[in-house]
Amino acid sequence: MSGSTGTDIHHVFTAFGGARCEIIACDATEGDVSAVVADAYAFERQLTRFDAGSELSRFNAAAGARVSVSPLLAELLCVCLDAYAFSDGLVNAACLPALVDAGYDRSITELRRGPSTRVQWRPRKDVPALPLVLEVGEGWARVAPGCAIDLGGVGKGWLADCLCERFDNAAINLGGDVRTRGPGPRRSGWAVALCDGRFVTVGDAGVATSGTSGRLWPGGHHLIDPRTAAPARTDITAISVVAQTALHAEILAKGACLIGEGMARSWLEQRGAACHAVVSPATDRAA
Amino acid sequence: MTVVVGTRVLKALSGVGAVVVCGVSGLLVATDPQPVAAPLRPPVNGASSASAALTIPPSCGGTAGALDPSLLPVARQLQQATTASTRRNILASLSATQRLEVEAYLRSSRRSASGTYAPCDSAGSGVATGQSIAPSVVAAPASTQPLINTYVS
Repeated sequence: MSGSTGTDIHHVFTAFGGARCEIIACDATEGDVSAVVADAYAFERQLTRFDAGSELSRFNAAAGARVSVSPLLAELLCVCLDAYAFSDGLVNAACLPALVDAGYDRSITELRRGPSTRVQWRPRKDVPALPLVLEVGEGWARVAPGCAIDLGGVGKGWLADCLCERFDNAAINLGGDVRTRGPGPRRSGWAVALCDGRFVTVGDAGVATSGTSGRLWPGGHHLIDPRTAAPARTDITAISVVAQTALHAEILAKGACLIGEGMARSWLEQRGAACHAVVSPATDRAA
Repeated sequence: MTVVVGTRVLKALSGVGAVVVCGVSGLLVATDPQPVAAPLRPPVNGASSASAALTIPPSCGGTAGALDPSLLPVARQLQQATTASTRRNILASLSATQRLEVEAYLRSSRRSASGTYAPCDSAGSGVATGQSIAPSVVAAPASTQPLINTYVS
C-alpha cells in the first residue's frame, strides 16, 4: 500500500519477519522513501539471525574468536552494551540461546506454520551478563564461546532513529518501533496510537511497545527474562513507552515489561520516559 | 644463638599471626574499589540508582568501526551537511549497504567525540551535540486520528 498527498508520502511495507513497517515523510520525494525501504531490507539481510549467511549469524558462529566486523555491526553491538547498562541488565542481547531453547529457533512466520523443532525446553541457569561475554574493538568484536547475540528490538529502534533523522518532518514505524521528527503533516504533531487504544501526539520522540502478546507460539513467547533465562512471567500484557528516541523507548518498554506493573512506573520515570500506557490481564487499565 | 620457645608461646604467636593475616585481608577487601558498572544481576526489588537524565553511558571503547576508505569522503561530506535534504542527496549516491555503513560509522564517531551516546543530531546537521532531546508530547484537537500505531512485534 502506498499513497502520496502533495509532497507527503505514506508508504507501508513488510520487513523484520513479517512485521508491518511504514514511513510517513513530509516534503520528501519517492526516491527518499524508496531509499529508506531499501535500507530497512539491507539492514535485515545483514543482521538477521535466521539466515546463516548474514553477518550476525557468521559472527555468532565464530563465538570465541576475534572477528572483523562492519561498522554497522560494531555500532549495533555497542548499542546492545549501552542498552544493557541503561536497563540494569534487563535488556540483554545475550538472550539468544535461551530464546532458541524456548522454541524461537526459526522466523516467527515459519514458527506459526508448525511446532518448534525443539524436542523439549531445557531451562538454563541464567543469561550471562553481556559485558562479560561481548567485546567490541575498532573493527573487530568477539562473543564468548557458547554465547550468541540477538539484536532484537534494539536493532529496529536504532534503525528507526537513523532513518528518521534523514528527514525534518517524518515518522517511521519499524514493526512497532516508532520514531517521529518534526511538526507532523498538519503541523499539529504526530498522533501515535498506544497499546491501550489511546493515542499520544508527539513532535520529536520515540514510541515503542513491548509485551507478551506478540510473537507467540504454542507454549512460548519471544520476551526472555535474563534473570530466569525463560519466557518472562509478567503481569504486563503490553506496555507502550514514549521517550526521546525509538531506541530509548524500545529499551524502556522491554525493561518495564520485565519488571512488572508494580515497579514499571518508577523505573520508567527514573529513566526519563515521557509517558507510558499499560495493558495487563488483571486490571486492563491504562497507567 | 638459640632461642627456646615454649609450646604455649608458639600457639599464641600463631594465633596472633592468624588474626593479623585475616585482619589485613579483610581490610584490603573492604577498601578495594568496587566496579562502578559491574554487570550485576538486575535488581528485582527496589529502585534503580540510575540518574533521571536520559543519557546512555557508553560501554564501548568509543572507537568507530573501520569504514571502507572509499566511503570516508562521503562520511566527511555528510558530517558537514547542514540540512536534511543535503544529507539525503549525498546518501542517494550510495547503495543501501553503504548508506548504513556510513551512518553507523558516523554514529560511532559521535559517540567517541561526545563521550556519551548521542542518539539524535541537531536538526539533522549530523553534528554531535552530546545533548539528549526531550520527547515532546503536544496537545492535539479532539478530532485528531492516530497516524501511526505502536504494537508488540
